[in-house]
Amino acid sequence: MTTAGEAPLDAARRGELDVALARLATAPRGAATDATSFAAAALVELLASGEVRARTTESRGALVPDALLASLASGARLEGDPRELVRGLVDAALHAWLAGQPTRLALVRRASESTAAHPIVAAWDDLAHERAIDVTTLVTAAQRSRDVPGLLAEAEAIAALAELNEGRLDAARDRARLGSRMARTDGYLVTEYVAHLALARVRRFDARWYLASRILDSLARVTPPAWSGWIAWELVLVGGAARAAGLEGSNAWRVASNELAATLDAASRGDRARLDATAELAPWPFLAKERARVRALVDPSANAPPELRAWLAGEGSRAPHGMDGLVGSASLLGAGLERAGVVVWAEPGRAARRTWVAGLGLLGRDLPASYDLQHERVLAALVALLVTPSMSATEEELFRRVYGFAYAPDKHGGVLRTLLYRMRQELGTRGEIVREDDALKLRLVAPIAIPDPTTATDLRELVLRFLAENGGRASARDVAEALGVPLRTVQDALGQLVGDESCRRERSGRTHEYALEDTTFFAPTITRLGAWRDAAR
Amino acid sequence: MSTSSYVPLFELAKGGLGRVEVVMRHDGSYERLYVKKRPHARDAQTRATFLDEARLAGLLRHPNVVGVLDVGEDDEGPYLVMDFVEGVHVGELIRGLEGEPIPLGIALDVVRQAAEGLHAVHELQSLDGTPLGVVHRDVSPQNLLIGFDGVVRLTDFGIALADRRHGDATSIGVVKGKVGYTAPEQIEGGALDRRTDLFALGVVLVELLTGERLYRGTTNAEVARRIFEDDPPDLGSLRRDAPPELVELVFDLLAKTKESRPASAREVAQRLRAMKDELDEDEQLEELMAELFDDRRAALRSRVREARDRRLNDVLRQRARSSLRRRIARAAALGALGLLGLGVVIAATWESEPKWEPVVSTPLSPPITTVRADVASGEASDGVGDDAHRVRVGDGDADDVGVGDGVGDGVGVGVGDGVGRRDRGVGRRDPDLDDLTRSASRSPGRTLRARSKRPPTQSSDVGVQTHGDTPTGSRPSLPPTSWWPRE
Repeated sequence: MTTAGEAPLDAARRGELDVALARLATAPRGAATDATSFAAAALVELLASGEVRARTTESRGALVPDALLASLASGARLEGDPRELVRGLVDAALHAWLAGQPTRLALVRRASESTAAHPIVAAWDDLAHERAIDVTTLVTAAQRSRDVPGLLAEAEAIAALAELNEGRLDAARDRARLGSRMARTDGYLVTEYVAHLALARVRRFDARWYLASRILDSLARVTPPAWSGWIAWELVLVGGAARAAGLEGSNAWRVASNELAATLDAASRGDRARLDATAELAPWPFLAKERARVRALVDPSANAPPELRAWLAGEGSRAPHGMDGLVGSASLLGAGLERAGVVVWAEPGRAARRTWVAGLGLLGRDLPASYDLQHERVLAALVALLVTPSMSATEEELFRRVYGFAYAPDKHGGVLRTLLYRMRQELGTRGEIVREDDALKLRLVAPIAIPDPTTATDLRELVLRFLAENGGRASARDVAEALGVPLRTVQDALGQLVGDESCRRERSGRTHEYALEDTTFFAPTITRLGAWRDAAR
Repeated sequence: MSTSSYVPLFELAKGGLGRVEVVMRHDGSYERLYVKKRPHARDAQTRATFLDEARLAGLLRHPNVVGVLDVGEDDEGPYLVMDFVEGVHVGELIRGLEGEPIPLGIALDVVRQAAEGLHAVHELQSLDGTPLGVVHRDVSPQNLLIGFDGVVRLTDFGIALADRRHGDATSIGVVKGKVGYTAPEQIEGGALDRRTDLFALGVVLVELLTGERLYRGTTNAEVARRIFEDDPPDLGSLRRDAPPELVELVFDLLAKTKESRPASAREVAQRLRAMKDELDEDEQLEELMAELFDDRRAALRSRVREARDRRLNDVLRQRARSSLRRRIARAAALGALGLLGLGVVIAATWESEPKWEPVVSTPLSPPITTVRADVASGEASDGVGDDAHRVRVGDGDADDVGVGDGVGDGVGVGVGDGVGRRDRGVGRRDPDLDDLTRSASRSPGRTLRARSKRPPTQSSDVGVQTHGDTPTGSRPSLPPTSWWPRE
């Protein structure tokens, strides 16, 4: 320990980290390495102490100074407890990830190269930039450092996100669930936040966006502001933009989340100028793709990403790539009135395309009125014809697309004739359906937007969404009243949800309540996961 | 089986063509409820048709068909005796839902069971194995009874058509059945076969799923016109949860020509079962029935119990009067023995006359199927051993009793759950003294007590209706129990 190193140490001990670093920078050249080493060791010691933890409401990873990272990157070696060093570097990488700071993340990566933290830090960096990750190697490396708190759980969470990026949903689900469970038992708060958030993201892609919604709401109550960017991003994409707006925080990811929400808002208002003005921000390249998908969903004039083209052209029913929560948020169901979250937009001479119902304003169209169930077949038939190549189909093809089984003229002829009559009524002056070469052809003479009932959110999902957004539990009557659906219909749906273990039924006094079932995630208590708040005070 | 075996309890339903009453049958310790159906008219044609129905139905043994167990004639004309179904008909189930949609899986289950029963009807053979080619012709919500046990049973073969059946009921060209459920060929008076019934089953299926009559009109002619002209309903436009397979099945069942319908009710049942298996619903028909009709069930049981107790009292009073007459006659015959002796005998007779006191207690479910009497043979020395000093009414088995109030074809048919998996006859329990004792402790208030000065010397199982005629010596002895005559 040199004299030159004592001044930075003293400053560091006083919590004056900037002063400590400044003194490090001005230390005599010959003593620089020792001083840096000493100060770094001191910092690590301080970081590990409750003193520094108590001084911050952010991730402690934010406190690792760039200068220290730079000196580590240039080969400086640190003294002190190596576990704290590893944890400190991983936290620094995580903080850079949360804040959307690519430069700092790269710096942490370089600083960690000679440490056991490197596999995790590198994985964060690779994940952000969509570089391939060998998840097996990652997890194996973390297992070697299992004495570092939360490291293995964090590795599983990163692996889950990496599997998701690669489109391996099953593997992502398995790893996310494992990571979430491990983190809960580890009791290391930062890791627990990461693992639960990774689980929420995987749930969203796994068409269980209601579970994601519940996880996000739970985390939003307990995490420090540094986490709000990621949480807000995910919330917006499960249809919870309003809830995201109330979160604190102001880092780059948060700004990008705000812009994402603004995009949806501008589309909902039909404000083309504002939509075009919203920045196409994404904190990380892999999220830029998600951003592009959202834009393509809400704006029919936007380029369609390759992975979304088939669906936009009318194939399949569920909105792909984790967007069914967003689509579902625009769906209405109840009291005999339905509204799909998606419409099919078509103009004469152009192929039809699906678009988010709330974005119709961009086309100068009002939102289509709700429709009753009896009208749904007519809409479904029109959609089926609209999305058919050249808007033409034989009776057999059309019937099968609408009803889902083979056409038999003797049994279904009358039904089909009635359907065609109603389709023509619905078209009005905007087009006509004619017979052409044994096929039915739709000729448009004006733009048309037809709600796509095939994309309407299932009642069970709406029930789950209600439960997720209302504390995770409710009575059947509460759900029925909130959704405007007959009680028995809701009971029926809840019965099915209990059957497939999405819900569980619990007695509450003289009635039953239905609770959202998530065998992995348990809503954290503020006293536990929000312990940082007490420390901050 | 003689008609006197059936003790009438109360009238269950009455229609333009006939009536149905709940009856109870005693035979020794055996006691069970049935319904007895009779036509109003007593002309030869009605009688023949009625007995035809009985003969047809009597050949059927299927869990989803109400069994006809007996047929006969008495002073009031022909009658048939059927199982007593504790439940409601499908029309009542629909009304009970009060506009709420029935859970899809339950609706599928109801119609599947009906289809199973219907298939048994269609496959009916004579005793020599000859297919009878039966067409029910009156499949409707009112003729599909749903027991509280969750079993659906087809009933009312009043107008069923068999290839070899004679008379008006079988005549091609005569329209039978409820018009809203008749197939086009039935309205036209054309040739019918099993697929005719499938059309009606399709109408019932739609009605059950939507809660509304499918073919409605202010006149029968209008209803018939709609059956001919209206396209089958697109169930997917009426029920969001209807899978394509169900939509297709409805189209198939309601096809205007029978050639386009499913080939058999069994096929329909199989398709419905496959759809049900795809559902994750856990709600059961039995649970829904309990939820909707528990009060009604309790009221019905109470009614059965009261009627039964009343009848029991009547029988016992009658027996007591009969006993008194015998004693007086005996006393008169002994008059030569002297005034003093005569006075002693008369006094003894009056003093030993049972005074029946029905004691109403907390209702027990199910109603009684067991009646036991302790027989005091205080006069055994003079050969009179049939005084029932005390009779106790044991509690029966819930599953044995109940009432449906279907009125089919103008003739109300209440039917009970007799044949079946839950049919637990009393006789099997009666020998078990422990059971008897347990029953007694559970329903002390339902004891009908007779006063007697003499202590009993013997006790036995006795059928209420017959115990007075049962030779004392043939009864098994029972140890003393708590039903001794009150002193």
